[in-house]
Amino acid sequence: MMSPRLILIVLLVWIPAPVLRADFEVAPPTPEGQPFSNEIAFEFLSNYATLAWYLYSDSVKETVRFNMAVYRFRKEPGEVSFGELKKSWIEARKVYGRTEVYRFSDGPIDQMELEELINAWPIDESYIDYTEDDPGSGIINNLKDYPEINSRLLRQLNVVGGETNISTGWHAIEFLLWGQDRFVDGPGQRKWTDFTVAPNADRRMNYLVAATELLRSHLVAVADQWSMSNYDNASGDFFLKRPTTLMKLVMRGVSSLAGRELAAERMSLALRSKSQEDEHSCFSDTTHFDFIANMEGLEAILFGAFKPVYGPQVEGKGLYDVIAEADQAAADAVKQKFYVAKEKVEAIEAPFDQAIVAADGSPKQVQVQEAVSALWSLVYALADAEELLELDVKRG
Amino acid sequence: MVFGLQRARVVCSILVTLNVGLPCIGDLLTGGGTTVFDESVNAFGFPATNLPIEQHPRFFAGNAFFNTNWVDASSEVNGRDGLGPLFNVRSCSTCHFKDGRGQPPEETAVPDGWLMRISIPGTSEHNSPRPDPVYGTQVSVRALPGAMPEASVRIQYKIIDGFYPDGKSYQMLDPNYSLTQWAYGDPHAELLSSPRVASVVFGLGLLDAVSKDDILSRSDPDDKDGDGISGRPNWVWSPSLGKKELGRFGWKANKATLTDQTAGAFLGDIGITNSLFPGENYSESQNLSEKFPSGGSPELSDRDLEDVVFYMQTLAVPAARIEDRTKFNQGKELFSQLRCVACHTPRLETAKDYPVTVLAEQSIRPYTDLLLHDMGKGLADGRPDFEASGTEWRTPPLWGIGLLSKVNKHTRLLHDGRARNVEEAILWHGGEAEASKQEFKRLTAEQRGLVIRFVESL
Repeated sequence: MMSPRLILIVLLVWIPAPVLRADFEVAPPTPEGQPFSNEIAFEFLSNYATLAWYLYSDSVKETVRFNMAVYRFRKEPGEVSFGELKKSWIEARKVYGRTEVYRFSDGPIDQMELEELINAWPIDESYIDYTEDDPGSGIINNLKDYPEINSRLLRQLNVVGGETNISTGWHAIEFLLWGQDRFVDGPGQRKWTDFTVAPNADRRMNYLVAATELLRSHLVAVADQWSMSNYDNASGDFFLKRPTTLMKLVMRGVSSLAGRELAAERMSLALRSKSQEDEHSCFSDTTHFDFIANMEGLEAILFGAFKPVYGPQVEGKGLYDVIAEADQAAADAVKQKFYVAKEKVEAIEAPFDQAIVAADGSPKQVQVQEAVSALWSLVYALADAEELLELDVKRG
Repeated sequence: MVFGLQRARVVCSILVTLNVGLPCIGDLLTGGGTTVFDESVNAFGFPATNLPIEQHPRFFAGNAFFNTNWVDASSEVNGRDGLGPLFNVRSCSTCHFKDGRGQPPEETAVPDGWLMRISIPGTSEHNSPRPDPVYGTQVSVRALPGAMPEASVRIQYKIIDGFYPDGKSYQMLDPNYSLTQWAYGDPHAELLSSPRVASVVFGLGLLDAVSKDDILSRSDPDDKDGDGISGRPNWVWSPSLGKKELGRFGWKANKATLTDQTAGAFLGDIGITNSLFPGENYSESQNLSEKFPSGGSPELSDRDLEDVVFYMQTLAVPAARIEDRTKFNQGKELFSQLRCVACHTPRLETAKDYPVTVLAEQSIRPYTDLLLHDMGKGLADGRPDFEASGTEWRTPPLWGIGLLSKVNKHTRLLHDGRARNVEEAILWHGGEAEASKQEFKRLTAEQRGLVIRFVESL
């Protein structure tokens, strides 16, 4: 498979078209009647690919740091190294959340079917380790069936016998670090001694190390697909699709993250079930960071600008610019709805599980309801814009 | 890879010009305007393409509930508690994984996506199957701590060797089921049992939207046209309508509405009481009521039930995938010549006045007549269900069948998942389908391949 960039070079040789940037980026001629130019679409789409590289490589680097903290904890287990480890998970998790805007778009994260290994949720914690109800449960305490815990085993066991039987990824590790959240006003309280002196402590430590290494390698694999210097990657067909098809996929990703993921799954469901465990990062009580990170990812794609943790400021065209070429008012509506939603999401008080269990009509609950409505308004504005872009109309 | 509608249209317009097989776009649009073009692992999980965006919040709310894991009523968790005490699985999506299809368990494993219906000879109220006095109408293979699962299931397969007239050999698996370790005393001496896999859940709203008259117009209970194929309606009791109604859903068409099906599954499979089935799913003699508190009365709110039903109604049907138009047409032609279409009706129209407007007036290709047919001794379960006899099964829809390997990572077919692929499923056909099967066997290997590939492209 060829990389998007290599394909762009091939297109340059193939199709005579106006050169956009000095180096090599080109676009096929805009079909007559298309409400936006192929030039702006390709400027946006190549910026989308650039942003993907920076967002995912940020995530890889932050996860490597987390992995280092795991090794440190294994070497010198203690209160301090455990505390730093948890902090490091939170930082790595925040950075990962920004990449979720690339889901639901038929991109590498979906095509490689790694999302399920990286970020599956909700999880049944008793599949992994002991719980209050069942002190002998989980892979860690099952010496008979799983004499040795390693990354191959964890990968094999993921989603076996049920959608919530999750053995790998962010939330499995989160459960290992925090344990069950049985506390009204704080996260889970797992003790670091669970990894040193508790029953099966060595197996728990092996699990933590293996799951972390697995997460790191999976993130590297996804990031690699967007690499600017990898001419042999699976997302190579990205730019081979029609600009209209690509635009549709990108917009599906943006709308799905804002609507079905954030508004429906992570907020509305939790409010309706009034279940603390329906909180996304329920063990660590860091769901508000997930929300904010998702909004940052959306912002980067909508407006084209982003400052990576590790890398220079990226400035380029966003989805907003493509919509604006077709219809300025529609673009402004998207912009306005986005910033309202961002404000409402940021206003949700941490920890999120307090809003979940709050009484109907209480201020904490109303905050979440408002965020849900604002996110759906954004999705509606995007749907209106998509119609104006006439992505379904066949031209040329 | 998403196969774009536009690309489909281009291909079609070329083919139309060349006069290569018509109709074209319709073959792809299996679910009419609801059809989604996606071949990924999520192919069964999209909202109907024509569903207005304003209805997405409701769709995804239902989706989230479909995936929710129910918990013990005694836990601190509120709102989605009330699991069991006897149950098969904790969530809808465990059986209908990624809105897809279940498969039989390994020999002695506890099944997910596969269950055993039971009853005893005779009928109960409204002509329904008569429950076992202790175990009811379904074996619960899981239980909360403190209770025992009702029984264990064991499957053993006998390999059947067969030959096509052209000398090519084939193998089929003939299952033998045993129920052991009954935890609450012996079941009735003449216990009837029927194994069932969980079906795909997309396109159900479209099947619901086909008018009753249309379905009945295809029935021929006394085989008046003498073609050897009857097609009988199953008249069943509908708790949600409070009357006898035409059954459409389930392996024996024993459920009339999606609400009946869903509410029944919440109780029977997960142990969640609801307004249609307010009583827990255990009998008095099992003595579980005092030990296990209820998670609410009922445990499932009507709003949640309605949203889950709406979700299943409006799940999109994935488009057919036609790689080679000529071969597709040849396979389609053979499928018709073999008279598979006598039951697997290729095309149905949904009613104009169906209340969910995006599902109304759609031309769909489910490949089912929604009627009961005698499928012979080989497939018989010997357990009548309302008017369905022990040898009758409802024609299952074939849409999306070729995507099972992608979405569910298996290709197990038929009511109990005994067939390991389309070919074996065809070879299990008997009874009214015996003649068609024999004709299939007499085809050349290449022709058989065309029929199988045609089915897999749906």
